Amino acid sequence: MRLTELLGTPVREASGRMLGVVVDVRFVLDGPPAGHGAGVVAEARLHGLLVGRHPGQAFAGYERTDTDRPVLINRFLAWRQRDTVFVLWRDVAAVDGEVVLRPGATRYSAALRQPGA
Amino acid sequence: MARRRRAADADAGAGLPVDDSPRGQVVDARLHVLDRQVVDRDGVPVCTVDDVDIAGLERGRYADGVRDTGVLVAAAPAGADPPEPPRIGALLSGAVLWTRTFGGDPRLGHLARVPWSDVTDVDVVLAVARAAGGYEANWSENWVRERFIARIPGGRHAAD
Repeated sequence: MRLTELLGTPVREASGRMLGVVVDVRFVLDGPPAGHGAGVVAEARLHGLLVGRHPGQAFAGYERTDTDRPVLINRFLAWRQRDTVFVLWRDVAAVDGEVVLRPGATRYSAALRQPGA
Repeated sequence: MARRRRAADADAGAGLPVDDSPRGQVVDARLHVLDRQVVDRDGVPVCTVDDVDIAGLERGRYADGVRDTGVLVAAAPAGADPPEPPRIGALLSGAVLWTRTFGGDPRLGHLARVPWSDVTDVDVVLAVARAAGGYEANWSENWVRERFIARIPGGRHAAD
């Protein structure tokens, strides 16, 4: 499956309530190196999905990062994306035209934190 | 920095817990990978990332390999060991202007692949370990160089 097939897919909670659409897919580079060459990065494991209601404006990531300039654009886009949440991949029950979450799935802040930062 | 962090937390879902579980570099595919340039070990451009192949996430197959139901299930049934999560298999590059403008998806076979196992750095650009000429994403440039540029006197070597 390709990333662009997943982006924009509707996301529902187990109760049937619509949560939004997939605006981004979060990977974590950990574990063994992905290849045998020198210096290759670790495998990029799918960690979870970022779910929001305004996928067209999520490309800049203002709601996730510490970037705060230009101020007006930051404020506007961060406000527009204020309902964006992060759900772990282990809380995803199915993907078939839409993403269905498991009962009791935890919604996390969409903030992007690098380990040790 | 603390003020910026508080602002980011407030913007990205006030009151929600923050996921601190990752132990490696965190990469949001659309934000950090899509549309980024790929350069080779010498800094020569290879392609731009038009899509990402997610391995282990095929339609119509249980991710835990149990059975084919026509429904893609990401996680194992309750109580079972969780399966390996999907991972980035390759960066894809090709002619996507038409489909991005008018909709639809380019056929997978029409997109050139840069294996994730070649990637050495994920930053402003993505760096790969091999030379640019070794990737099929560069076929048009290679073709023009071999058919036309090489026939121009002096076209087979760099300027002194």
